Amino acid sequence: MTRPEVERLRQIPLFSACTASELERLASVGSEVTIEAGTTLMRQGSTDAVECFVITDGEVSVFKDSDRVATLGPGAIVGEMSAVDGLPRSATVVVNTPVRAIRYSSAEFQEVLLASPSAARRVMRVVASRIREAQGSDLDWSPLGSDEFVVAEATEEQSGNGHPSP
Amino acid sequence: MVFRRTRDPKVEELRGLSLFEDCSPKQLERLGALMDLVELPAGRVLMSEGTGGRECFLITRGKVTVSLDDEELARLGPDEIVGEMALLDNESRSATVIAETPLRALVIDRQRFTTILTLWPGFGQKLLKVLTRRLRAVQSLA
Repeated sequence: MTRPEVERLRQIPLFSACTASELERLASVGSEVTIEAGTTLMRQGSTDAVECFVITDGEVSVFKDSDRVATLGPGAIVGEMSAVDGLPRSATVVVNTPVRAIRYSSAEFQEVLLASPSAARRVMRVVASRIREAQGSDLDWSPLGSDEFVVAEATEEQSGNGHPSP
Repeated sequence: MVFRRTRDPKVEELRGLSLFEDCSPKQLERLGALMDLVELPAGRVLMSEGTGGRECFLITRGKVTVSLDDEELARLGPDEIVGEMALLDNESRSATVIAETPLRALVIDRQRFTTILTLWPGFGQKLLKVLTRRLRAVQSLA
């Protein structure tokens, strides 16, 4: 039996590499929310909420010090930094169009990371790409769960021991 | 009475690492089997920015310098991990890392890194915390 929630989760890039049993477990974590255009999801510097959102429909803008630094849509995750470390929000996120999202409290987000190694890895990859971007390397803010990653993961070299470079 | 005690040096090194602090002795033994223990001299280049990466290092003794475009970004020591980003995103090395002192480290290659992430979800959870801390540090420099 495939529940509709499980099918919906499978469409989200963050969860597309999850096994059926991981999806079953994830289906009961987080809450689906609808958010009106114009809503401020989080404010830079704020410490009052440590939830994060996985956007399933609609578009948000990310601002740092009132500069728009990104526009994100379906598949993107926002707010994960504070959900992970409980520190102040690093950016302000404003909803541009009506948005549907899955909202995870900090505790629920930890549950997601533990329930699904593949989802955890994708979140890490997003954070890694943001580090690269902040360091000024020429990579774009990579969209979550692009397909080349799945391919790369599947064809990882069967290399030998992890010796350091000579 | 027989008291079976493994004296796997890798397990001894793993014991002190916060990334694996939740692991049982048995789990540490299995983890140790997925890593290599290396001693490196001061001055050794662990990785160079822009090159391909096939392993990461868990430092257990000594210090490294992390730099980008000849600018020092950080000095890291025991209980820190370096080189994990290229394994996560399959991009090239994001920085250059050089041993500042003689170094002891556990080395994890790409394939085993994936294995460890899959078998020990707590590792991924903690590693994400490390990455988040680094992202905040880099953003505060920018």
